[in-house]
Amino acid sequence: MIEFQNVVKQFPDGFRAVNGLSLTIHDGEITVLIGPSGCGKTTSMRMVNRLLSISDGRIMVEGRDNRDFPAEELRRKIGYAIQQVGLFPHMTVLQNIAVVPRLLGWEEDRIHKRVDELLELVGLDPDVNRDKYPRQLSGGQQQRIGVARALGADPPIMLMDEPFGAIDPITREVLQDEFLEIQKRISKTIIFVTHDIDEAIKMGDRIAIMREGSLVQYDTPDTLLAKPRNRFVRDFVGADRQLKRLGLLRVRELMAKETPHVNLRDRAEDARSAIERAGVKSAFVVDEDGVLRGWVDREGLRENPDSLLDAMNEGDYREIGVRQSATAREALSAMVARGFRITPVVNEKGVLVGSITLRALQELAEQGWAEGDQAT
Amino acid sequence: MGGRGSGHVRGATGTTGRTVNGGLGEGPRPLAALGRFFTPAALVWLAFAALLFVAMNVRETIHDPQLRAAGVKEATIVPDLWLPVFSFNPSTVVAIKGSDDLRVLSFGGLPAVVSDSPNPAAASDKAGAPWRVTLGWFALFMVLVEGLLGVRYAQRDEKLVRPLVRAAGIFLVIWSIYGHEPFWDWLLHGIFPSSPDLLYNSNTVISLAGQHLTLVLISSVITVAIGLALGIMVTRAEFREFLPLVSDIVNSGQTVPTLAIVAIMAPIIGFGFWPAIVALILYGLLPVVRNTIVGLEGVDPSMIDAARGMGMTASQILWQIEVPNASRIILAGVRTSVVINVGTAALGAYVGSGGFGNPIASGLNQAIQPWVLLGALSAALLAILLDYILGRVEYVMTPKGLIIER
Repeated sequence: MIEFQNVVKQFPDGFRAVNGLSLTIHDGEITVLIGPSGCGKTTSMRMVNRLLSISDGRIMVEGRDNRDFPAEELRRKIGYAIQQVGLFPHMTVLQNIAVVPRLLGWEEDRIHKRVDELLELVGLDPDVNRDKYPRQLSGGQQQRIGVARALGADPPIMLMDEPFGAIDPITREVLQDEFLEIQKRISKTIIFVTHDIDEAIKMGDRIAIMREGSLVQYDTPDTLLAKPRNRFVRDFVGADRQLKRLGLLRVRELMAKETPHVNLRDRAEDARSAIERAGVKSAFVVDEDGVLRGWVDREGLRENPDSLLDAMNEGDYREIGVRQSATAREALSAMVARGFRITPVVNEKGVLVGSITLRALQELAEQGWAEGDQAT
Repeated sequence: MGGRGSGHVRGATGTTGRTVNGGLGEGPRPLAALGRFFTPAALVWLAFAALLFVAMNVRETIHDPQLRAAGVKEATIVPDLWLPVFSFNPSTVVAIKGSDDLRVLSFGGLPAVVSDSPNPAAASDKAGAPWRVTLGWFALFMVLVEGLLGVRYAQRDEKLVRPLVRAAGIFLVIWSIYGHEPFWDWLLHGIFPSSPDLLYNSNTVISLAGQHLTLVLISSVITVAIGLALGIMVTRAEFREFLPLVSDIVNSGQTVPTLAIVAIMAPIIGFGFWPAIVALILYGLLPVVRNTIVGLEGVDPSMIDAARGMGMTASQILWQIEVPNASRIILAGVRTSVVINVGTAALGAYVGSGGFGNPIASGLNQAIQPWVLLGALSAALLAILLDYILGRVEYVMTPKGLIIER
């Protein structure tokens, strides 16, 4: 756990970059510090491993004032990854990752094992990459090495200063996803600085919005989007915050598990009665394995009253359904694009598991909107 | 590995399509690969070497007055250093008709024996021990070093034959200039046919070279030590305020004419070796200090930030991160400084420090042009040679990761 207690940073020229910051960072979580330029987010982070001195207040790291340790010793226990990566070009990948373990005096065998382990963790083949030099790597690969290096001696805490900031948007997405996967396994306590609200929402377990050296709001992404504390936060998270919030929710959590459906081999009358019984306009059609094959509506049944196969609209589950692991935002987008009011939800194999309606999503968004307005 | 374009950092004259495959290399296609080594530059070296070989193997009229007085009018000049290389027989014949005077031919080389001398045994004695370490052996050593470098760094840029060919050329040049006075005899007589005094009479070229080299090496070692220390010191946060002061002093050291420094030092320290050394140090400091500062300041700050953030101490950052990354620029400064020193060391002759300045000064005083040319050419060649050697040092000492290609 890291605890900022009334931390102040005043530079020699009198500028107060951080002004009485109090913040508790929970173990095993990614805490994002975000805010406009000059808000003190990077300064706050750099005080944790004492790259900057603290003017007033204190920072507790795992229950002890971080000034109780010699600075170098403290830093070796805290992983550090930065936007510019800062790999050492004269060292191989192995030597780069081994910097902290070597500082800590690990044995060579242990270091080699650790480096291979880390390379695999960040998705690079150790045999191919171990002896390469940074110049031989792409930007994305360099940043992966940067993360591996920060994890070198398996520190419980990591500081990451816009680690994916200088990378093209597509690679950035990939790296973010990969890092979230890694974090699931390693559960480090991470302070993550960024100025990109989308990245913050995606990466953060909690987000601390800062402005002019002070904390404005510290909440989970969902709460932050649903209940921005004031106009500054609302502007900062953006006008599309409702949509962003839908991006946090999974279809799995929102869908109706009971949905009217008929089997491909059923008769047309069965389908008609099922629809009428449920009081809806249409039903989904599945095959004997439960895989979504299309849908049938009242109109179709009226035109082809004898055959379900003739009455139904066939469609591939990839095109007419959404995955249960998709976000609500993706489901909304799919419905808007296809002109559906209701869309079937399928699992990885295409088996129908439920449905979600446009109305449900709208209500969700409206609810957030109302809550947000109440909060102001 | 897609991505950013391949940066050819080194070797603008490089061959095309080099690859760095982590030591695995491509399949062997020796003949096709050989073609790539013979770049225009390599061919020029080869031609140069061949030319020297032919030029050195001719029968020459002897112009040396001493020898002429002794009745030697003509000789087959066989480069003495080739004897062990090609015949492996130290007593291979070097013919000087009617003379047993070996002053000329055994100079700085391996023993040479005059075949038709009246007394071959005596001649052989005069030539000295067969395995005497000479400049020739130094040249041979350079060839070996070049060869080894070529093998060691074959993966780096696939230049194996090129350095070898280049080394052969250098070998010939060193030998002909410093180890072979008939060459000078022949050259100077060609330029100044009417001059009676061709070779400088009070020192041999080799001993002048020795004096000159001593001056340059001692002053350079001290210069580099002081320069590095100063450069490192003023780039540390604690001493940064001295940076302008130091660069002013260092700059002014090079502004004051060396001759003036030499002249000022002479009354204080006296004549001879040390005043020249002091002047050389003052004069050579600028490139070392400046390049050290530029090199260290040029190290990517994010790299240093990362190093600090990982818990490296200030001295670990300096020696493990900053210096290796600045090494190329620092070494370039050292190289410049040493080369400049070769030129300025010639001025040491005015305070009696010896070196190639001696024939220049005497030649100017007595209006004997061949002496001036002898000193100037030899000094110039020494500068080129040292520059070359330091270039190789730079090549070896620059961390591989800084010059590797994708």
